[in-house]
Parts: sequence; C-alpha cells; structure tokens
Amino acid sequence: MPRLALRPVPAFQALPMLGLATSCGEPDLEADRYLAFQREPDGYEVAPRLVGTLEDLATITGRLGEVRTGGILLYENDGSMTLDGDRALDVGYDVQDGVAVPLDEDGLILWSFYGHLEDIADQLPALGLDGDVFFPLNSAWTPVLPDLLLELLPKENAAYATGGHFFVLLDDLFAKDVPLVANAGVIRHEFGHAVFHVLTSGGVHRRPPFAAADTSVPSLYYSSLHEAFADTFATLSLDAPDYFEDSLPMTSRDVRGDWTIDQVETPEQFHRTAGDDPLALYDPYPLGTVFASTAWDLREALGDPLEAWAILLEGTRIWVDLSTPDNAWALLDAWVAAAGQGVAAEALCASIETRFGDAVLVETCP
Amino acid sequence: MTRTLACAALLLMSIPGPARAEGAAGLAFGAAAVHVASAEHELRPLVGLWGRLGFGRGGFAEVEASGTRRIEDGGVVQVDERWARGALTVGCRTGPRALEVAVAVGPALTYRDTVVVGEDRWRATALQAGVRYRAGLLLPLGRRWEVDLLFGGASRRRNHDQELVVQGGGRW
Repeated sequence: MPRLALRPVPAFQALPMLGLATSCGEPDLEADRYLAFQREPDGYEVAPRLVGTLEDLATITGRLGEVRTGGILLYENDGSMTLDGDRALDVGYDVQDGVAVPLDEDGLILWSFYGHLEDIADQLPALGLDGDVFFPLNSAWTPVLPDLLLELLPKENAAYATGGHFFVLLDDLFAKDVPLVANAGVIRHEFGHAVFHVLTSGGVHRRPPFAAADTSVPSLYYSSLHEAFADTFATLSLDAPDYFEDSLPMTSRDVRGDWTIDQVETPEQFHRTAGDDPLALYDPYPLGTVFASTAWDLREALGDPLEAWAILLEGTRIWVDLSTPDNAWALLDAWVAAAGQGVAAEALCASIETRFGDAVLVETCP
Repeated sequence: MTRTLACAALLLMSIPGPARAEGAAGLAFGAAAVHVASAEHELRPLVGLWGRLGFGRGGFAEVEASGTRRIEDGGVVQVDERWARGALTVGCRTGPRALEVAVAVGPALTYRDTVVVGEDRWRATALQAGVRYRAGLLLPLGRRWEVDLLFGGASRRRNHDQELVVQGGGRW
C-alpha cells in the first residue's frame, strides 16, 4: 500500500437531501458488541467483538479517533496532507441480543477497521511503542484525491497521510473474501507507515523528510524503506508473512519468498532507465519487500516475532540517530548492531548476505 | 429542494390542459442508487409496482411499491441486503398528449432487512420515513398502454436514495 492514494466524487450526490425526513426504528444504542471481521489463527471470521473504545457506532467515533467520509485531500506546501470538507458517517444498524448488526456491508467493513485499530492500540506496549503518540488517529473514507493518476482508479487501496496523520481508506472495486479495509494486515501496514514517519520525522504532525512528489534517488530510497518498515510492522506484529493473501493473491509481498536485491530495480537503476520521462513511476515495493524479508528471516531464526521486532525497532532507532532517512544500507548495519552477538546477529548477517550479496557491505557482519 | 419541487409542481398544475380522470397501473424496472453507510451510492437493480389515478386538470395521485436486493457472498461472510419502499405521491402532468412531463412528491416508507451470515446468523431491520420525489416523461402507446421514463429519489434520515426507472402499464 502506498503512503498515499486517492478516490472520486461519489456519483449521484448532486441532489441535496430533502429536509423533511424522519426516522422510524432508530437503533437501540445499548449494544455491547458489534459485528466485525476478526483474524483468528485459522483465518478470518465475522463475529461479535466488544465495543471497547468505540463510543459511537453510527459515526464510528471513539477514543482512538473518528472515521470521516468524503472531503478532499490537499497537499500542503510543506509536503504534508490535510483533509477538507469531510463529514460524519451515518452507519445504520440494528441491535440483536446486544450485538450491533450493520444494515449494509460498508458498515461491517468500517467497524472491522476500527476493531483492527483497537487491536493495534492494545498491542503497542508489547511492541515498545507509546499509544499516546499515535492516537487519536482519524481516517478518511473515500475522499477526493488530488493526484490525477491515482484519481483514475481510486479503489483497492489504503494509505497513511504523513504529516496530516490520518488514514485514507478506499473501497474495493472487486468483491473479496476479506475486504482490504477489513484486513488486519493492511491496516497494520498503514500503521507501520505512521511508526516509521514518527521515527524519521520526530512526530506524527511533523513534516516528512521528502515530499510525496519528490522523485529524487534519496526520496525513492526513503519510500522503499517506508514500505519495508510498514510490512515489517504488519508481518511481525500479526505474525503473518502473507497477510495480503486473505484479500488478494500477491505472492510478491510474501516475505517468505526468496527475494533478493538482484531481482529488483534500485532508485539509481530507475533513474538511468526512466531518464526524464515525467510519467515514469518508481515502484518502491519490491525493494521494500527485500528488506521486510530480511526482517522475517530474523523472526524465523528466533522463533519469536516480537523478539525480532524489538531488535529491528531498536536498530531502526540507531539508524535514525546515526544516518539519514534515505541511507538504506546503513539501516542493515544498524539492525545488525542492535542484534548484538549470537543467533540474532548471525541470522541477520546470513540473510543480508543471501538477499543483498555483494551489493551491500555490512560492516557489523563478520 | 422541497420548495423548488413544490414551486415546479404548482407551476405545472397552473398550465391549462384537457380535463381527464384516468387511471393507469403497471410494472417498473430500473436501477437504484442506494445510499449506504459509507455515504456512497451503490447501484442495484430495482423492480416495482405502481398505480396512478388522475384527477382535475393534470393532477394525479400515485402509489408505488418497489424493492432492491444486493447479496455480497464472500468466503467469510454473506451480507444479504433487501430494501422495500412504499410511497404515495401527488403530482401533476402537462404537455402534449403524445409526451407529457410529470412531477410528483409525497411521503415514503423504506423498510430495510439485512441478514449477515458469518460464524452465526444475524439480522438487522429498520423502517425509515422520508420524502419521495419523482419527475420524468409519460409516453402513451396507443389508447391503452403507456411507458414512462422517470427519475426519482427518496430521503431516509440524513440519507437519500435515487433511481432511474422505465415503467410500463395499462391505462383505462
């Protein structure tokens, strides 16, 4: 998932609503659970979950943030993004035996999203992260996107707006067993972007090191590392190397794959081949997946995703202190440094040698 | 919007036309743009029944019953959304007998019935009142039949649905 993506003006919204509507059958708001997609060890299920921090089921507002709909996403001069003209959701639902049941599928999907956000918030302390830094985190469901290329297909995506500190959530073009926004791994991937942004920028509302439109080599490396870190967060926090598969067949993002640096285009190679073509777009995911696969190798060696995450997070913090946010190879050095001695360092060095070969010299490896 | 429709209806009713007190009834088929939780409008097929009774100079009252259904059948969950709407509208029509323009407005009740089948089976229902509005063209086919092309919509709480239908039926 990119750091930013987009969506069109909803059709058939030209007519203003008539103001005389009244409502019968208002839902009983005393629901203690709501239906949501939930990820279990053997796959997803739709089942009731406790309301928890979700204070208003109709507007999807809670202590973790609010989901808004519509509006237009704006690029600010400082490279951050803001949302303008958005409005509150109005999720219709009924209550059956204390369980809030949505009146349409969109309600089910958006409740599921909030549930995933709550699972992340619950896990943050175990991941060595402070929830107060990240929450509240609002979300924009299907806003108008300012980028023409993305606006042409504003579907099948989610994004984290760096600097603006909100999620952009788009609906699916094709039906899926697990809609993208209801996929816990996809939401964790986007949250991973928030974590990486905070690490490299100093705060959720701080300006990112590179603007979204910056296509320089350093900016493209930074984009690849963003994707790498986001996938590392998603796969390790969920302990799911192929979280995408529940929604889309995407083996290219399975971090158990034999991905190596030789198989991907580096930003330097992209600039050589693309030349001055203004329409050429760099794909940051393949390079990011090589890094995320290295992280997964560490998890395999240790047999513990959270232990692997702790090393990689510490390494990333070391890297931020000692390097620049585009120095991809220095990140590998820092990861090894954080691993210290023993199994973790050996596993990381072996993985780096396999996946990066001669392209990278990691000084901390023997 | 309400004021605009009312003004348009009064304007059309003020245009002299032949006095007639005829009735008509038939079936309607079309596409509904249904307002869902996300504030999107989802396109769905629509079928309905309608009956119209004329009065005065171009005035008429119309009753309708229509419904839509959407089944999202994924591997994890099935969501079966059914909608039924009943409406009573009062309107007017004007223009040459070969092709009339009609507008109508009135109250509507929308019943929503959604079944979610996942680990268990859950059901949600709601009855929502609102304002119904329609406008379009009435095309007689001979003396006994007609086919109409109508755009319409109905509000529900803070939401509104719209549709485009072709309806046909017999006149008497």
